[in-house]
Amino acid sequence: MAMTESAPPSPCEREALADYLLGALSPEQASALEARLTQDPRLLAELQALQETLHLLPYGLPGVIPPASLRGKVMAEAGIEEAPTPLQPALPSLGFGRLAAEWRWAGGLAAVALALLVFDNWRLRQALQLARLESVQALAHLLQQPGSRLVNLQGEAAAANLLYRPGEWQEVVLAARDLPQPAPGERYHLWLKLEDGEILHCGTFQVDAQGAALVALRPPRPLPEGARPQEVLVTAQAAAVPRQPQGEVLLKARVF
Amino acid sequence: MEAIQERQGAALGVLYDRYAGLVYGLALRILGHVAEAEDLTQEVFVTLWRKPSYDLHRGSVSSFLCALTRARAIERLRSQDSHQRFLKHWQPLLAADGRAPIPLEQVSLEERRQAVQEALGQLPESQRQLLELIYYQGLSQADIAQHWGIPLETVKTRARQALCKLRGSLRPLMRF
Repeated sequence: MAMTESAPPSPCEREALADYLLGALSPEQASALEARLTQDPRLLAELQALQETLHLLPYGLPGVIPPASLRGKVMAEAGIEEAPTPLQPALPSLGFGRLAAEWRWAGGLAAVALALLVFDNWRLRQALQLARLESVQALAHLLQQPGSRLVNLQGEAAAANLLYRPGEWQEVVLAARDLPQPAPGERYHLWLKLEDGEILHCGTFQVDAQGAALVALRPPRPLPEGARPQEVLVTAQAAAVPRQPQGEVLLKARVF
Repeated sequence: MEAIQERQGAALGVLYDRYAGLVYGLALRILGHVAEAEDLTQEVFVTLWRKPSYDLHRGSVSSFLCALTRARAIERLRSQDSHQRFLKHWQPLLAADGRAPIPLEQVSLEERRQAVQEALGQLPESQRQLLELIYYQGLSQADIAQHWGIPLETVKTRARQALCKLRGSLRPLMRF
């Protein structure tokens, strides 16, 4: 298991380091490796690279957004006072004119809610919940785009709202409720079905203990040129990004 | 991070805005409870502010935050005895010193997310599941072998192969 000054770690050495990181070495083996690590900076660098790799795993989790109130708690606990963030720069085209320029954060959230007043009560509640999102800037950005749409997805026991911008699908915001807890190893997946039958994966998400989710999803692939979206679907299937929806469609809605 | 160490309050807000989703998502995945995940997210960022032990030369900020979040989350899940066993494995590594990799922060969060999801998707299901059991639940390989009725050597081989494959797949992302 010797490593010369210029040689990269051998597969055998890398495997030993992986075993060490994963807790698979005996105490004696671990001690021997630790002794080598103190004397071999390149071996240590490889260990750190493997460790870095391991700590990239959370990036594979479906995107979740902490409640907006949490930021204030963190800053308060840390003893940091922050001035409220003006929303005006994020909402220049909402059409609220000088009044909007005066509004700060809370006012901006109210504007978001007002923009959605045409929808039914549940949609409004969802909009207010959406306003709690840490990514409210993304929501505001979507709302300020001409033609942004909110579509209601229906299922047997669950429901959801999806805010998107027709023709782009670079970022969508989904608010769902009453979804059952997925089976172990499964996540919820949002799909976009095109008129020609092609189905695009838009992202994965998970629900909280109450079966609710509030997520901003960014589909990994852009919409093909000239594509005509037809339907959005939500399925529950293996966490790794699948190629096609499988199993029962839990929620769906027509889109344009 | 230098700004954090210099006690510039705005820096904590910037780091929070960038990494809160990652930290919260990891905490939620391990703890499976919204309130607990919120509490731990708060704990991690406040710890970062009060005791900024992060060292640029040890690795990326996101790796540091994930390591801290994972350690604290599993700490909450485990009994005192097994907790000590866990720390024995991970604390020396958190404190390890050495040459710094090129910071991951140069790569966008979304780019990382896609790359990691693709890399995980290339792993055989059995390997991916094993790695996730070890990482998110802090289970020992012996526990997994016993619980799942798989030979220990098989567990070791699959987990090792999974990590080494990921290392290869994500090398361009990490740029080291």
